[in-house]
Amino acid sequence: MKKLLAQLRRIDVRLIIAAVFAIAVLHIATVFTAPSLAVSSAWDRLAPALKANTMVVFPPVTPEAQPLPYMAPDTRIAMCLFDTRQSPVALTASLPAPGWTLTLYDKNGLAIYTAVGRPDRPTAVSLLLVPDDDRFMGLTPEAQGQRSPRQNQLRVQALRGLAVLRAPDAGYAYRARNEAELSAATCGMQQRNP
Amino acid sequence: MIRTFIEGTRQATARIPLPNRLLSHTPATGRSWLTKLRGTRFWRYQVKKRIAVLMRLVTDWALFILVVLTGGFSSAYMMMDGGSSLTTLTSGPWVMWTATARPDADPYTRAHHARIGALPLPADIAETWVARSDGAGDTLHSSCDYEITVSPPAASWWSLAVFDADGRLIQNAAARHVFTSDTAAISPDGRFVALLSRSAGGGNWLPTSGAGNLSVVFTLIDLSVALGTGAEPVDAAQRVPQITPKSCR
Repeated sequence: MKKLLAQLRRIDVRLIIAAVFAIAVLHIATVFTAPSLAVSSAWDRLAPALKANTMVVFPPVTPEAQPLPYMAPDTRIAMCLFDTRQSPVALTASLPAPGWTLTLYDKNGLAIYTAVGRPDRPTAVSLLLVPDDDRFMGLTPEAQGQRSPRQNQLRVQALRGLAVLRAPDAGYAYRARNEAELSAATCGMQQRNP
Repeated sequence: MIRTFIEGTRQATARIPLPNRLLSHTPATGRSWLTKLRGTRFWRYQVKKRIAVLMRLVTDWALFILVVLTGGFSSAYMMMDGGSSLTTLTSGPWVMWTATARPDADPYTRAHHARIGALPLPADIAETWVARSDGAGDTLHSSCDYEITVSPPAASWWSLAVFDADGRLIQNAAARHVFTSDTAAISPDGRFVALLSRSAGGGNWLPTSGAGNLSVVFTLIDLSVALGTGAEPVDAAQRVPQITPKSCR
């Protein structure tokens, strides 16, 4: 006991405080840098395989073709890598039933927009993705007397990201319909008015 | 830090006096061989003492750095991998990150999902529960059979999928990896009972083959919450499935 007390007395309290402080600094630095240092984030895995501003319907998820970890074949997926650096991106999709979702993710995997299918009626989503620092402040097409089917102009803070349309697997009978709805979704650069 | 280290070493060793012979450079003349020998021994003793102090200082610093690196990295890893009560909701063996994919997600949630490389549904519209152990607290393993009972809310879409420990789908001849509210065979009492087993079973059988450690993911889109109908959300303990171990080989 005496020996232990003597050893404890040898410990420098200032050193312990310094160690705790250094541990806290290292902990915070590790947590904050982890997303940017992660070499296998969803963006890193998917971006090289996707063409910008093009909706791609993914094949059914299987053990041999599983794009991301924890991605199950409970949904069919259509994905678009949107890039608003050149021009605004127009995005259209239909969510015909519950379980259907459209989510826009930024490069860090954070959802910047989400829409969910309703049980009572199909939900048509039509978006114009405009960079936050380059949004159009002029007259809308409606104000110019033109008819515009577009519902929302969505200002996105991310210049690039992923638009993911998920169709829940409702069984064999619904697969053709799901495939058709996924294929009908569009994603492309907006044509500028002359 | 290096400057502090050198300064500390200098201060610590400066307190140890060196023999005058070494410092003044005056030749030791007119001394007997015994005196010379004693002087050499003393000088060697002083050098040894200096080295010992230096070694203790180096050891202290090495220990300090080791403690800081171990503490900093391991605490960060634990908080990013398993979460804490600040970032996750726990119900039995099930864990859900409460700010998954939300723009205002905390740094731990962001780091967690970036590290595993998944693209989950945002927590605003869906609950994604992950279980790596059974109701008794033992790690889920493909050598055991489990019964999973789901009692989901009425207006909801859900799925129950099984993966290996790294989130990969498990190869099996039946090509079955998941059940959803649309594809599951529901019992007359409204519950869904799945059998997690490596050998073929009846009903809602989810094969685990020889995957080793397992992780089960329960995704729930509660339409009353997702569509903002104002309905009171059901308690988490009631909505997550029960995992009951049946037998082990």
